[in-house]
Amino acid sequence: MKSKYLRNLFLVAVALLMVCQLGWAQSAAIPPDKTLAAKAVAAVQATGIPVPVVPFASIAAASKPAARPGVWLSRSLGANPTLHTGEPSFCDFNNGSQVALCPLGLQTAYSVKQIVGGNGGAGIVIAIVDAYAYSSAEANLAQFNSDMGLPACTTANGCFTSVVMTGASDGTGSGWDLESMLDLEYAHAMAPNAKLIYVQAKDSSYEGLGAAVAVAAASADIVSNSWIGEEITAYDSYWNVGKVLLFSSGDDASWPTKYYNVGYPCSALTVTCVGGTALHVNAKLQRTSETGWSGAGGGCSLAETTPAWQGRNGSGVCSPYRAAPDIAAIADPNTPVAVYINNPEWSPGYYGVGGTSVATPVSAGLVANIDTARVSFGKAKFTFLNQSLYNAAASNYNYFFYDVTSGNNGFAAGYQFDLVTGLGVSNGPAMANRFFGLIP
Amino acid sequence: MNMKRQLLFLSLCFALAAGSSWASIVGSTSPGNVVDSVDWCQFGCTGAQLATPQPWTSAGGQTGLVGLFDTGQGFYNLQQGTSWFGNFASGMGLVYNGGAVSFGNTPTDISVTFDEAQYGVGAYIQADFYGPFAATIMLYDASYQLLGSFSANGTSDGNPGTALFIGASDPINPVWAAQFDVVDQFGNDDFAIGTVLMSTPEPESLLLMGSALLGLTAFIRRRRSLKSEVK
Repeated sequence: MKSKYLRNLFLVAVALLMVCQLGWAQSAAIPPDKTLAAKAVAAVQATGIPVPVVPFASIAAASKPAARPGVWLSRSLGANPTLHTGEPSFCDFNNGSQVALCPLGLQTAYSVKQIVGGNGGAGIVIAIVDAYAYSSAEANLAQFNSDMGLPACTTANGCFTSVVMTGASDGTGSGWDLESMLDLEYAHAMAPNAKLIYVQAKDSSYEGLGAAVAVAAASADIVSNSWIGEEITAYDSYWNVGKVLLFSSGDDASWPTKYYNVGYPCSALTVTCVGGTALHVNAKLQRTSETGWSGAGGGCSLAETTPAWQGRNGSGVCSPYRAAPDIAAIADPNTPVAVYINNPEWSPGYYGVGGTSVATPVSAGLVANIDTARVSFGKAKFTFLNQSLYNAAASNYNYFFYDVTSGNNGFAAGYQFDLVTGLGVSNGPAMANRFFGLIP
Repeated sequence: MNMKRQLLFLSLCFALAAGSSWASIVGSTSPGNVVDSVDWCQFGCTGAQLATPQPWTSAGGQTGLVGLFDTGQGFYNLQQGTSWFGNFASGMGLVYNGGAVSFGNTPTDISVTFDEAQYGVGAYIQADFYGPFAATIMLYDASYQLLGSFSANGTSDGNPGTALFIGASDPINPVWAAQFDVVDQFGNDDFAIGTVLMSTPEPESLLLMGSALLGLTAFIRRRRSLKSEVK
């Protein structure tokens, strides 16, 4: 018993060392070591401790400013979820005990079906931008939809469009593949009637990802990006696309790094920056509480100045710089969502996944539902979300937002705006309300 | 011949059904068969500006929201005789859509949503500026699609107890929200509504509906018995 305990302790220590080494490797631009990372992941998985999936591919492009996905692998869930279609509708992977939230549960927790006129985001196009080509995405998404009772989203039925940017190499096994599946599956989970465009950037450089964002914005209403990097305002024009542009705030808590306090492009002034929470639900999958996630990125920009739209909520927090994030949603790897992936580097099946990479596509799906409702009432779709969000907060905070008042990422979550969850979690039904929603 | 009659009957039914869903709401300037009411003094009647929307509770325990259609305007809770001197009954609680800077024009409509379906809804209403005004009530279904609207003319002055009541009901579709609008002689649209009243069908209406149903039943029975006789 004692030796087993010591062995586990040793494994944890080795794993932490390896993870730290990977963390150092990123900033020092050392070429990736896949074997090392795989060992680290395996060792930590054996202990049940959440471990970040490090994007090896992003390191290879370190000569240019590079971004990395914000996905956290929590645990393997196996390949055979049981879908309960009754009320509440949920899936389980382990003899009835829920270890990860599935799409229908997440829809319940965030009251998606209560969005009058939301219709699952029908008529809205959500773009997912990730680095590198991943040809298995559509097949994985099909399996996920089949298992989870969601409508099919395929090229054949016109729901799914894959765009591979010129020169994109294969990203299978890079970490971006899991990120891609998370993004596609949970944007679709929250907005099952919206169309998806999956834009695969040439590489993880800002140039590569920026070109992909431009392509995405040309065809989509909402662009979801779950990746983050060094704060360089010279790239700001890349993110000024005239569409709703969501970025994850990162999983490095508020710890200042050599490059940023809050991740980029999340801190850019044309971006809606999405932070992270731990979402707790009851047996009916209704939200009982939501707290700030300790790993969620947030803080004061070092370069972006305070925007006028931030108004009384947030503008004074980091003045003269921008405070982030703007909003938040589920991200804690200890309250993970179930993501399906099947490729040579992953055992086919489901993985419990966290990170602000979850919060971003989930928020994109919510916004899609709100947009559909707006269109049904003769209102325009959102193009820039932040002005409306902060107006709503100033108008009637408690109606439009769920205030996250506990949790800590280095900063403490608190009354209304804070540097863990921004304004808090958007109340979809309120924001889509024909009478009291964000009009225009 | 029999076939033609049946076709004619079906066509009439369809026409009636279509007609009712197109314009089924019935407007009125009297409260009707009131079953519940919402008193705005539940917000304090202090003259304070309120966040919009506000949750309300009726005398009968029903709930819903009240607020401005557009969130950018001022929204006040006033009271006849203390912060409003107009046509409402003395002491009646009001919600007012005046601008945030001054009590002038530029406001938007006042909306009231219900957490339970209603048959008929109405409210006492008055334009801020003295003189003639036109008031409109719009009813909405559960999907917040417009069921229909009804307008009536009123006069705004300082005589308490003479406020215009504007209401509407829908005998076919449940009502889940109502929206109020006013335009005065100068084009201003700031106004207040007083107590909101919820109504059920009048006994006479129920009697009419009952008679119609009985008639229909008798007609069908007669047709069936004729059919069996022919056989």
